[in-house]
Amino acid sequence: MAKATKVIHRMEVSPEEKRRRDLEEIETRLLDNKDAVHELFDVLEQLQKREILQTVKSLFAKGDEVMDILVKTADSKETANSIKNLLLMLGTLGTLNVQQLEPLILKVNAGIARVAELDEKKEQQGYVTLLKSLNDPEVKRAMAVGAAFLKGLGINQDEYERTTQKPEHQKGHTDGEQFDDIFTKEYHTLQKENGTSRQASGDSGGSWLIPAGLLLAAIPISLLFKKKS
Amino acid sequence: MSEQINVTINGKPAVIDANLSAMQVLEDHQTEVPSVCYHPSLGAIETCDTCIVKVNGEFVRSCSTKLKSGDVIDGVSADVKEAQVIGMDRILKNHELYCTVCDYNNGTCEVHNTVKEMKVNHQSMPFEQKPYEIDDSNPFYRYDPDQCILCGRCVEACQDVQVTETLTIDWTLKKPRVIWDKNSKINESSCVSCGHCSTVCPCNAMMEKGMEGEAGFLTGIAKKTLRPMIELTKNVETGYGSILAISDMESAMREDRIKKTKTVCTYCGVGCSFDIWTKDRKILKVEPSVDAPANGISTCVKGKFGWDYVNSEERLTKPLIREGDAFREAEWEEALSLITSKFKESLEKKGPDSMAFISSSKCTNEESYVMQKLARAVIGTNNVDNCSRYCQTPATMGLFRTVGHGGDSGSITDIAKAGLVLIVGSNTDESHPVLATRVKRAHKLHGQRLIVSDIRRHEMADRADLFFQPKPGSDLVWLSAVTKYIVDQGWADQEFLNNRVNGIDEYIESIQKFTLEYAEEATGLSKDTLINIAEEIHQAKTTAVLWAMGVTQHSGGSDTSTAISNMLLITGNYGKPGAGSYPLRGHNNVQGASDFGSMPDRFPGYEKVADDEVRAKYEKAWNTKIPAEKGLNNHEMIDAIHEGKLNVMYLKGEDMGIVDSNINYVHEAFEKLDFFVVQDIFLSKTAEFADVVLPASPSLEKEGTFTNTERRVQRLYQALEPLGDSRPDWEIIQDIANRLGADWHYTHPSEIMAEAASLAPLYAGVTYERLEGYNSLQWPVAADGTDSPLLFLDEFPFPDGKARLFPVDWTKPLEFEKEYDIHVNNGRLLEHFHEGNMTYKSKGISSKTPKAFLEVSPELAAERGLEDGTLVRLTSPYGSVKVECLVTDRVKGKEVYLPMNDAGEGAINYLTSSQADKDTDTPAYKEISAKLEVLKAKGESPLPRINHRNGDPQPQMGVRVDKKWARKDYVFPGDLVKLRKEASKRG
Repeated sequence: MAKATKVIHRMEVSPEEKRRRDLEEIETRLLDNKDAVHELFDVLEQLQKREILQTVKSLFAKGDEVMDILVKTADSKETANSIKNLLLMLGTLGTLNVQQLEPLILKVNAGIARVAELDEKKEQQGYVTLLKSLNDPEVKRAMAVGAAFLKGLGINQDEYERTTQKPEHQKGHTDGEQFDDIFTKEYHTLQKENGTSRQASGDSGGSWLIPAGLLLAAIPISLLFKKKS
Repeated sequence: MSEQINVTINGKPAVIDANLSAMQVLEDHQTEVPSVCYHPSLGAIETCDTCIVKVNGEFVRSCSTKLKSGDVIDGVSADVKEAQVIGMDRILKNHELYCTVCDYNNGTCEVHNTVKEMKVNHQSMPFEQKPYEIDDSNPFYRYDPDQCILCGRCVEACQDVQVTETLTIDWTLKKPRVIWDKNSKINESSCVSCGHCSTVCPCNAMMEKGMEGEAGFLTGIAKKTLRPMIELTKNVETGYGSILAISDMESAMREDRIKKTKTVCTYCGVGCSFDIWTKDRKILKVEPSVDAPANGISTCVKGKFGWDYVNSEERLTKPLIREGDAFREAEWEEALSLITSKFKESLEKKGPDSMAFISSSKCTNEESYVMQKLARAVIGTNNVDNCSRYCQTPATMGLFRTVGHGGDSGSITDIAKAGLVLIVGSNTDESHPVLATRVKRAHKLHGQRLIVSDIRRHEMADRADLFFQPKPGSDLVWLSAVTKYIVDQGWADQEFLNNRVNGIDEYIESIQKFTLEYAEEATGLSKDTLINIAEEIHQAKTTAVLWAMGVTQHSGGSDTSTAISNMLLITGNYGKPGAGSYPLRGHNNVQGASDFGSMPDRFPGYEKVADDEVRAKYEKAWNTKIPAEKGLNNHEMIDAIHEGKLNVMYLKGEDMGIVDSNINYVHEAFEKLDFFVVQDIFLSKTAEFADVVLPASPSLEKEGTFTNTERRVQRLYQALEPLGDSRPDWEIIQDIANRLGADWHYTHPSEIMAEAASLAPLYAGVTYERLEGYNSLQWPVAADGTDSPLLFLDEFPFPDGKARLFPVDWTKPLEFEKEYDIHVNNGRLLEHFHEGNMTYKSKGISSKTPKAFLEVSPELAAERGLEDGTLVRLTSPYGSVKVECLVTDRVKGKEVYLPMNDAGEGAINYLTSSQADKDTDTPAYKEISAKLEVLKAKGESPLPRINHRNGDPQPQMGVRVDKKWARKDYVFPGDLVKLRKEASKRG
């Protein structure tokens, strides 16, 4: 005959008994890891000596506040920029091909050496002497190196860029009157232009013409001087 | 074999299967196509524009483009990449990348992964905040519009997979966003919290709250610090490459502390499986997987969010021993010794049949096996049963009589495939929510026909093409009348009948009395309706019938189940995809509990105890003697206790004191027991009567297998350590067996399964290795591991391979005195599981659905002056309940509906009788009438305003991407790239 009941008398473990069990558990754990415990205390001793423990203790005690201050301080333009630049520089250093760079560096070094040798008098040479020097094989090689470098410079590397946004686009979205979406805007602009004859579009496209023109001009001039000599 | 076509892929000729999308084909040919909105379970949504490729020179979305012979596909050219990047840029405008401090940074973020895969390093449009607040109102998940990329996966899942139809994207807003209903708070909408949206969200926009501040190493920091942290992370980032690398590292570190364990849900028979993410004992989230065989990405609120109970303070953590009118906690040793001595005493004094054993449909197959082995091999009695006696045994009986296997004919995919789904007496969308989604989806998207027969207008009824409400307990009549009409019209599948079925003439003779006129009279349905049903079945290519307790829990439950099967045989709806009988199993392991022999007359695999050969096999294997006579079923056990013949009972994981019918009678029986052992995770109503209560471990704390309604065996793995001193049931049973002299040495459930498989032919090829991870097997499983997703393809499991038409007659439902004028229907609610020991422990669920309520019709309300919150007493000849009313047109006239989710004064089984199905003793729970009296006229509505039933769904087809495309500020990336090209040519 058992009537339904919800009453449960919980098992009482006396505080002494609980303490005894807990101690036994810890003791076993310590003995099982004797070596680790010794080493741990060595490390702790060192930390204690250097007051690192004290620092860490305070840091953890005030964890949320410290984190807040830290993050907020870090979240300034300058800090963000330094971290960003650091990361960028690290990244860029990694992309340099030092093997290929070596001959160029040697050349630059030689150039610098010459500059150092240059005395005041020579610095004031006339245009004729300068034009003449265009025919100098060393100067010609320098120009070839320069041209090759410029060519390389011209290759589109957008894909490998690490900065997040193109500057011209960073504010671009705000001046969209009708379309929030820059692609839609571009589409409609292109459509509008459809049919009307268009000028060379690139703002960036013209800049290479100047050095190229100079180079082109240099060839007949150098020939002229060659003949003379 | 599908048709093959010739195409050109990236300049090379290739032969591919027809009907594949360009995306699939490219990926099959080693070309990665980026995608964000595409999801294998949702298909092409077409919102993200990142998967653009060229087919025959034109830009198309590869996810939605089917290929034809001769197509030229380009997935690699610069143009294609350019168009894809435009799509991605637009996504990043809508999503702030602060991955390292994001709780979703777990390796599965599609935005993160696609940015990485596309090598996007800077974006053309900077991220812009949207002018909306985070919606934090729902207890289970939150929506952050600022992180939402508007891919529409959540909407697609809500509209077309779960088909609750709550979510849409408002494409007319300047800044579109996801909205609930007509833009209400999540918690005040029609959202059922099934979790589909947070499951499919590709990023952290829709996220489970359990993850918030828990998943990441840096995500737990205070909100005020988090914002500057995000700013700093973003300002420091030197292109996405490096930020992704850091977050990838952090994500890898998370792997160490977040445990992901595959488990199988315990809330119904659908058998949803998923990974459960835990951090120590904290449950972060449930993550369904496309690989899950029964449910895929689907879950309901219980499976997705209803696991709080495992950490409930009310869990039993120590054995309890009764002392007078109270329990005291004890150690295992003492409890087990007491049980052993009492069992031995009863055995010696009164013999084995003075004892009885009750298995649980919530426990594993292995635990069912050892329970019946304990009863038969150690004690020597067949007095063992399980709770399927309360629900689906009549369906099993109906199928044994006609087709030979007591299980669903096919898989859930067959239900989805069926031309016509006929639901009889099943509140499918609340009782088997995930299975119901498959019907709702097929009906909404694929033209499946749906007929519902029920006395109550539930959601499936609302969706049906044809819904009718027969008089309670009259289903057999209309089923037989429809079958007769089909035969009379010459619509029977004669070829099928000739080749594969016995007993045709005798059967047709037996249904002659079920004329349309007779049926009209008995069921209250019009002749037109009956003819309409017959025509629908005749016109459908295949018909699948789903039924549940509305059929089985009647005096003639087995016969009505038989009538369903007869009708399917007559129309040839067996042994082909998309057809057959589907008795929807109610609990996670109702199928398995019986499969593994916890039945008084059958061994594992349904072999009969009375069969000498079978018994000899088990006697040899177990080295013991087993009685040949069948034992008592659990209904008979209660009678035997009252008669003084049964004195000792060992029951696990079953709240019989609430779920059996006529519980006053059951409680009196419990009080008469000499010794009563109850094993459970909580002190259930039943356990309150026990002499010893043993603390068991729930599914998350053990290994084993469950068998779902599709006969699918699935493994569950241990996610948590058993709480306190609780232990898995199989270990406890083994201990008791060994103390009684057995010599069992199971060290893992796999060994129990191996033994069962060696003895039961149905499970011959089932091994734990074959069930690894998300692998599953549907019985019968041959020794070589071949399983049977679809039954009866070649033959029925009878000696001559033919099915049997089995004549049945109508048993009129129980009649009550005139004063009992209210018919009390009963069943489940979506949010709660049974008496609620588990689901009421979830604060979230309880906040939305705090208690059971009585649904009354507007007519009855008007007649008796009832309103929402009126407290009434229902009294039947067997007992009474007290409960608050809710007025709703889901019920009509004098029919009321009382959900079974109450273990107190509202428990339905105070009303039910001991009347039972005449063939199986399953209680006739659905045959109750009562009188109603008002106790308190006014009160607060038992259903809070924030319950989903008060919402306002907004049905539409998917996310309506056409509305996005029609926006003024949208242009197809392909069109822009084309225009750019033209412009550069001119320039």
